Amino acid sequence: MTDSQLRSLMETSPEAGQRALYDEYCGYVYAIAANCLRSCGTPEDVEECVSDAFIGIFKALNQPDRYFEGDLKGVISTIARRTAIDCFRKLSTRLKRNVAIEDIQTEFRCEENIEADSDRTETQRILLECVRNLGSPDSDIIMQHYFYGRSSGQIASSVGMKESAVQKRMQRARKKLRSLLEKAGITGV
Amino acid sequence: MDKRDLFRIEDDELISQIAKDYPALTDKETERIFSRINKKLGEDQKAEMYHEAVSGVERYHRPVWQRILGIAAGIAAVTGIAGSAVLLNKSAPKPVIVNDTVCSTSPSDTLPAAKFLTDSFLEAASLINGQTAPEHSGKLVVFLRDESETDNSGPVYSPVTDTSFVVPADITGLLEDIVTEEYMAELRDNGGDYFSDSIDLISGVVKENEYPSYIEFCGELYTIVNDGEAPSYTEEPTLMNTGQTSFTVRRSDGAPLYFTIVWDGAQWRIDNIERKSS
Repeated sequence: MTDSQLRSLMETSPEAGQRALYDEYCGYVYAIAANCLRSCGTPEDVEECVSDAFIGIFKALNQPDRYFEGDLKGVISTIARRTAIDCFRKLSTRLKRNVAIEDIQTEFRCEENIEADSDRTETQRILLECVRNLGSPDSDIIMQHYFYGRSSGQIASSVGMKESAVQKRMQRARKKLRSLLEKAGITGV
Repeated sequence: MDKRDLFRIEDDELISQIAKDYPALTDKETERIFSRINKKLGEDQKAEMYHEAVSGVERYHRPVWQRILGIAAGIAAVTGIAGSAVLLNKSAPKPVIVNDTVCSTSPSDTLPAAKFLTDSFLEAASLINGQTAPEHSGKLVVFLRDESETDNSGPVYSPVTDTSFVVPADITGLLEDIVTEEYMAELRDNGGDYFSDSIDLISGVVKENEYPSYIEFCGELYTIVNDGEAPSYTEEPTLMNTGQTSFTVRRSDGAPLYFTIVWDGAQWRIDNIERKSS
């Protein structure tokens, strides 16, 4: 569903529009939340963050005196990131741990770090390419574990395998990924 | 580089790609999150309902009689408080004289208190009668009663320079702190045994061949300058009929004066003076 279709649906039928928007961007918002919270939160915390983010998105898009033009994905991304950062701060306070400045993704990135950011993005692009080359289900297991922060038990239930099988596959996939990364010029992983 | 750091992705495009290629949520999880969103939205709407304004309802007008009753009750409350304050002040008079013996009921202080009060009274009485004059400039002035009086035979006056006396009432006011309210009223009305006339007659000419002790002229107070002498009560005061709340003290200068002194709850005050022939 395109942005314009979503917008018109939200105008004619807000509830149906919200559902369509959720179905379209649920995975994306979940990925943003998990990317931010996996080091400090449980999967329940991530789900809570996703629901808060969508409430913020729905309210922002339903404001009668405000109309968001342009890319709907940009609006969703911004609100989801801000919500995730708020959740990260709350969870860090609850866990009584210090928040490293690097752990909080800033919206406005420093110009001096553009080059470093670009290098990092390129490295991550290569990483994802290498993960893709692992093939299914190893790539799924690696991403579930390292990106979404899920345990082997949770992964096992989602991919329909035994937990021990998931652990063995993950071990093999890590070795394979390391060699792929070394071939691509990324060492020390 | 740590693997988890490597997977901390900041690029929106990459995140979007991951979400598309590696969806994490099962259908069950997706529905669970959506139902949580709906529940939260419902709670928010409920909370908002309590803050919404209603329209089309009749505005409540408080009846006029209630407003009047409220104002009356307010006035009554204020009056009650003010009245209570006045009554409380009345029932507990405060001493106005800075003299320890006058404010003491100790028997040892009775004689000093009697001396202080009678001396103060006789001093003020001398000023009122014009037997002694307050501090004045010494510049002598004669006031004529009317145009026909040209012999300048009247008494001479001098402008008062003591700044504590601006009007004649300041002179009589000297008695207010040492006599009771009732006796002060008596002195103002009749003068009593000590003053033959009202003490208020110290200003203004009222009688043939009698002159006021003080004259106000052009906003200035003038005192009569006499060559007469004030009676001197050099004899020590004698205490008589000493009681808990009253006593009598005798001062003598030829014809003795008997001062009745009473306790008003805060200090001793002169309540009456009788002159008796010796």
